[in-house]
Amino acid sequence: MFSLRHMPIFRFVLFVWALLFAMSSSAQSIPDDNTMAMIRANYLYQFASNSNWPSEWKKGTFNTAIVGNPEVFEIMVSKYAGKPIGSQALNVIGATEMTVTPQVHVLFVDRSKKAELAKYVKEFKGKSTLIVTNWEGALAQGAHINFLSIDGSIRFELNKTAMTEAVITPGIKILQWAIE
Amino acid sequence: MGNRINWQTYIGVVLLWFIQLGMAAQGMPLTNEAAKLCQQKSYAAALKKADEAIHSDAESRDAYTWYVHGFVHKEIYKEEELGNRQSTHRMQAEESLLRAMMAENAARHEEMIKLALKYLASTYYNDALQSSQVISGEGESTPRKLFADFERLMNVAVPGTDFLSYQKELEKSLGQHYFAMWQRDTEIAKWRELASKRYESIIAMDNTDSDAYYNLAVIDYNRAVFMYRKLGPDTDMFDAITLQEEASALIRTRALVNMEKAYALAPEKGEVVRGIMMMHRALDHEKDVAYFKAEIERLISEGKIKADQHK
Repeated sequence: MFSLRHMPIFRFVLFVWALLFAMSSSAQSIPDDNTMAMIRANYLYQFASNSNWPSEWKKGTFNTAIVGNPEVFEIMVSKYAGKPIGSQALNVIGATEMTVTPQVHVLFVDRSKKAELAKYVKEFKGKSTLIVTNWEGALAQGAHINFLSIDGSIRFELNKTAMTEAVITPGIKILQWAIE
Repeated sequence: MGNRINWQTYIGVVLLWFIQLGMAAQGMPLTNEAAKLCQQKSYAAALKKADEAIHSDAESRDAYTWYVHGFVHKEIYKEEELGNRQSTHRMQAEESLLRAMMAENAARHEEMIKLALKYLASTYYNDALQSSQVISGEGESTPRKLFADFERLMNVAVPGTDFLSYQKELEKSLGQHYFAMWQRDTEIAKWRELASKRYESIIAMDNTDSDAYYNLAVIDYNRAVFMYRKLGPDTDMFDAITLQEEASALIRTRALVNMEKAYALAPEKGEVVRGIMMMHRALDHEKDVAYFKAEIERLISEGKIKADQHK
């Protein structure tokens, strides 16, 4: 009698494992998107397009400066730069470019640069620069609009008096959605 | 000395077994010829002889005859039809091997027959997984049927097999396939729902499966991210607020809950720690983000995860 040799089971098992490995390597992954940055960038655009600046600020580009948050900066550049704000095109700049930009319409100071807010408040005093922040107590430190985190959602509070002093008129939508 | 005696005893038993098999096979020329041809890889000729053997009154009652017949079909399947889910050779092999198991002298060849059946069972399992990756409709009948074939043969080849891990792999494979389909068109909710159901079924089978919780969390997190990606210059402020509240609720009440379960079960798995960190970041939980970032650094420094995967 001849003894018939089987294909070693382990060889086949290896084949199955190779298949499983291929499948697990294509396993579900977490997207890298920074959703907080996405929503903040969108709000900055909403603040820009739903507020009114003095007529002398409606010439040239509409400059939005981002300080201390590269991800918000990147999203602003990729999604909103060049989009119209009234008759102006939105221009996104960083902290270094601010020094050579005569008019900064919107300035976002991230909490990572909290210590620098006082400097910016002083620098832009008397100008129509809307200062936006994202930490508790920032309105009292001179910000006009401050992001709040409520159950993982981003909302905002505003200092209407300070905005009036800067001659920036918040639109009805901004007033409607601001947290009292 | 003792070892020498044991070796002598062992060699004696093996020799006796061969003599018994040889005596038993003496009256089986067709079967022996089929086996010899099969060993020489002359499968067509081997099959012809094996067919003659199973139709021979003298040989067809012996388990070995049916075993050889099944084995030849199995070899032809391997050579010519591997991966063919409708393979007739695999079906023939299965029939003959099961018939061999029912023969009076099956016990003598049981080990070999079961080994062959186990191989066939494995091919059904493999086909079930492969077919789960190509289904385009909602019908899961093909992978389910192939899996049932796998179970049926394994129950004969290895009685008492625990199928839980195999069942979970099939569900996971289906879930991954549906997830991939959803990624191709995220507007089709059906694929996402089917993927979720598959992972929920794994949890119903085994509530300690961290991968299933992780994958469920990833589905809901992806869903939220896809919503955020819709934000743009044309989005009305009311819509933006509504959208982000819906998305953040999805992360807070579903994705994070499942990711926390995955983390509790696998606190040192890189993708899970990164996942939970990302979800806390999406909810603006600064302290939690800092904690899990530190955890990732620790796991990297301890060599438990690779740095390049978790920047």
